[in-house]
Amino acid sequence: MFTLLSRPKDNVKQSAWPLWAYGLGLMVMPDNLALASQFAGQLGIFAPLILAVSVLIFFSFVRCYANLNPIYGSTDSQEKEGPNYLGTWLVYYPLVIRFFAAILLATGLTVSSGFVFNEVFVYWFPNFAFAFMLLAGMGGLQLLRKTHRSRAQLVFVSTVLLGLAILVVTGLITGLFQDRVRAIEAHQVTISGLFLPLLLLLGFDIGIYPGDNSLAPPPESTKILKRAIAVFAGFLIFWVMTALLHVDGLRLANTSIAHLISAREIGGQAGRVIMGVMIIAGSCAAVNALFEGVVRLTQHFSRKGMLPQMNLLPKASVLVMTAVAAFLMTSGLAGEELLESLIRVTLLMWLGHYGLITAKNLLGMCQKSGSDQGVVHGQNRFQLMATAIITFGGILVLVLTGDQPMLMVAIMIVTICAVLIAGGIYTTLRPSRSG
Amino acid sequence: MLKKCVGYMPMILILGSVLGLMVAPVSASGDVGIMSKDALKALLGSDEVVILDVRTGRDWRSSEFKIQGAQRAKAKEIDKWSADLPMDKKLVLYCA
Repeated sequence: MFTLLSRPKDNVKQSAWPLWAYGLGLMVMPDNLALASQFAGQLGIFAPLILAVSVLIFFSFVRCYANLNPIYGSTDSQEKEGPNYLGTWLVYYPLVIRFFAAILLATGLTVSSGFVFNEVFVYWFPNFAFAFMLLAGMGGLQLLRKTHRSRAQLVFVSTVLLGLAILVVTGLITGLFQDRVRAIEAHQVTISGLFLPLLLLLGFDIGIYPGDNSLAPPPESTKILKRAIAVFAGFLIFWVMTALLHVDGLRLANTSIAHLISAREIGGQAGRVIMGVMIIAGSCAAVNALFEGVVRLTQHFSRKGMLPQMNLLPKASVLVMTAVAAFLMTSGLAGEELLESLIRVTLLMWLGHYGLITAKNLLGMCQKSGSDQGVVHGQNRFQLMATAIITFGGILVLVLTGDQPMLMVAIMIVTICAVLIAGGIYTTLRPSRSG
Repeated sequence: MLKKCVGYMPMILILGSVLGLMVAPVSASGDVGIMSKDALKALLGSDEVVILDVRTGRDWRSSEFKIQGAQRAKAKEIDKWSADLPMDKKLVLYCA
């Protein structure tokens, strides 16, 4: 049931562990650990239940992805389809979202890591110096071979999961002997809190390498991604319960460093050090995964003629992302609330990508009549409809309850318009298909 | 000779501006003292001091070190909160 490496089938090469490593890359970022801990403080005993429901939503996303076979590109006929699964007008949407997410999260996460390095490990080492070094390191990692990058990614992700496991086991053993049961209550059940877990499981699609013929086609890769989501959600559920055993929920809900406080209460200074390592490793995992995701998608778009066919274009994109992130750090954006709003809106648009794929599947199903409607990888029309409603409803709620809702709406509108313009240009200029 | 000096004038002006910008903050900040952490530590808990944490964004969110009793105050909104501060107490602005 739990396999890290798939058995080879026929002549298709299996590459399961990169799928795990990159699929979990964005999920293990430290912002998610903090958010999950805050979320636990808000919803208390209901937090694991809401997380479990989110897992089901993401299973639906994975199955909808699987139904759009072109993104896997594992056969010649599917390669010809190209990444037009959302239609040609929105074809650049996933690339634009990943590109901006990479820049913004690289800026924020490396700065956060710098503070952690300074405050947990080496007091005299300037935090921004560490942040720049980390950013340069992640950019430099992209210059190495694919195998080395993937192995580094596996180390980053494994470090975070191992740290979580240590803290959870330690916390459960010590916490269950304390009279903490009464402290696990919901303090701030808000409608936005109910949808926050949708942001914690984003990024599984980075694990999919479009056009990578070594990638197992569905259903094998679908199973692997669902297992990765389930495993990480399981870790999160145990983490939130452990945090609640040791820290008052109200305190967790009202602090920006809920994860650090929880680790400190669980394991003292050792717990703090472990969480410090997890934060830095998680930042590396997320930034490396995002850079890799942009590179892969850029390569695929170049092959399909949607971007200039230049060998250096993918590497140039890494240089641009690294340089822009460095500039944003220098300009002080990390010290502005604007960065948090930009990151939040980018992640919500990423979630919107999943919603669009779900809607696309639903539309395709509705256009078939009668007995042809069938199911999409085990889901019927009503399940898809529920997934789409929860997704878009969640996006709306999280935008409206955010710190700068008007700014987020404006950014969404501008981004979608830019994507539509680029898609329109591509639609107009692309060579017509023959036959 | 005069023509050469005129040719170098833009560079001289630029360098002079840069030097001036470097000196200006130092001279302008001459009236605001800097307190050592030991001096601040001695004052913690005292009614004679008001500590203002002016960090924002990730600078504040990511930091584990937050002085107990400090009030958050956004540097860019100084006009909003400065009028409410007690002028008979020592004001300590903390950003790192």
